[in-house]
Amino acid sequence: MIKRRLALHLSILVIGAAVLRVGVVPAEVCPAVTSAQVAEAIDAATGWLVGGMSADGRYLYGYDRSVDEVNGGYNYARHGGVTMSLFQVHGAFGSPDVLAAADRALAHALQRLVEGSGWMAWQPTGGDIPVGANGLLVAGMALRRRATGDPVHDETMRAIGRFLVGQQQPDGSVYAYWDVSSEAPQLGFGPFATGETSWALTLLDAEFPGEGWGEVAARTFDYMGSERNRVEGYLTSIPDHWAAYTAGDLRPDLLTGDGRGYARRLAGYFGIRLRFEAQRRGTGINLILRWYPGPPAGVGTAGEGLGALHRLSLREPALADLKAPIEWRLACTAGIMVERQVSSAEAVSASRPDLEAGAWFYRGYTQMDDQQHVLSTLLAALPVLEAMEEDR
Amino acid sequence: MNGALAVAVFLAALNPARTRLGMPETADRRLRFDLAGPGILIGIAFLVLVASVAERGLDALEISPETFRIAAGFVLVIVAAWMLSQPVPTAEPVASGRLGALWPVAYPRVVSPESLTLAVTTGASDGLGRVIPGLAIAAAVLLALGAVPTGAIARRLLAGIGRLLAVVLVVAGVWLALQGIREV
Repeated sequence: MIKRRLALHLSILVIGAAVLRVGVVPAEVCPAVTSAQVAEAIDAATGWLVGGMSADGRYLYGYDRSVDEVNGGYNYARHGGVTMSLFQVHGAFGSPDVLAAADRALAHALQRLVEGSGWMAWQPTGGDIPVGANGLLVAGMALRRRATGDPVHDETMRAIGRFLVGQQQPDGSVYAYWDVSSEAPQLGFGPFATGETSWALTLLDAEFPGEGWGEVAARTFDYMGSERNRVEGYLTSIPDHWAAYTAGDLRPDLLTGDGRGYARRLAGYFGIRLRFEAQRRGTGINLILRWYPGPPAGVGTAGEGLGALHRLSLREPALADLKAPIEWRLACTAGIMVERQVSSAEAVSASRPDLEAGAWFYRGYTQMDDQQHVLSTLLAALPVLEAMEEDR
Repeated sequence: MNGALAVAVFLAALNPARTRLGMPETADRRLRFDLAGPGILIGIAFLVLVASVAERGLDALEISPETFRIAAGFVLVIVAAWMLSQPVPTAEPVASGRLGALWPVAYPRVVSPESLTLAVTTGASDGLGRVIPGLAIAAAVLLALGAVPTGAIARRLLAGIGRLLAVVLVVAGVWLALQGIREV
């Protein structure tokens, strides 16, 4: 009788543990990676973006290797984002080739500036003016200025900055488009335009201190951390990596207690996203429970968001406890993404090796923002890995 | 998890009131202690041992402590739901002689899915400093309850307290799972 009851109890324990293992806590695999491997991966991804640029400064948008087909579409917010990432690469490595390529992409955008009342804005398509794309353009120019000290775009940055400020509402929300026909901000929000705007204004504040950009940025940052979900109708909070960039670069005196709380919540969103990613194998029962390894752009946004919050954790004593877990998570993500990147050796046998080497694919397809976001993640992970290697 | 919270959660997981109802029953108080005392100590010692190697164990299984909190939260909620539906544990046959301390006292009354997962998650995330006081207090309460003769009124009272502790366990489980989700 006792043996039977013992067997029953142990069976429940073992079956329960197995269900938990498979369904809730599959192994989180973090491949070992060195800073040198990460630097190589950054170089290869940059090569994919720069190598695919056309003479007019546009990037190759996407490539589907399963049918060997280039996607001829385009997205200008992504143009701004990729250009910003290339300026990040230049800031980290000082590569003149990357700077030249990013400058070509920037020039493509600056050819399409329009003027309004006291402001300028990038109007990529001739239609309504997208605020998020302008935010990323300013962010890119600010990072360029930070790395080079070159003041050539100062007035353009300020002029687009005034356009961004004009889109901000008294509560800190940001309308996502300028309506060309009514010549007024178009009522409506975008999921990322708000954060892109606040980050751009934050970077303007760093480049042009004392001009009041930071205070405007902080208003939008505080809005994102408080009222946004209710005002914009989100049931759950957006894991907004651009908001994380804002937190990472916002002047310390502008970061409130609520803002720090928001930064902590953002770190949690990115953390669970990346832990989940580390559990994905894409095979067997794991495929059913966790699906395929995630879209690189999605993984990348979480990684770069954590990277920005890592900077914040280094200077904000109230968030110092986040430093170690963020570093661990960044190192893990870097290992995963370096392993998932198509190497030159793997690309040799492909029908278009130049469109595969250095890229990250999701179920056979890659897009410029896949490279952009993972690139930014790896750039954030690089100094963390270097410091870990020094400590060993 | 701060110290007071850890004590409350361990108390809810070990649920001394409900566990007391599942202990081998004898009219002789001394005989009850002869089985319960060593059994509780063995169970608690095992849980402390598990907690002390939890971090290494999770590492070997490639599970981050943060993610394991989610799993622990699930276990606590499921077990608490079971406790609410079954306020009195199923009577287990008692092993003969001193072995009765091992079965059914140490296992499955003290060492159980809920106390094991809680020991692992607290040991891995917060260290033994949070595990030992929680287990010690729960064990002391359980031992003290051993002195209570389980007549009809006492049984009803213990079942009611057991239900209350099960509700605490539901809250603790949800809280643990949310913590696991929110952590980096």
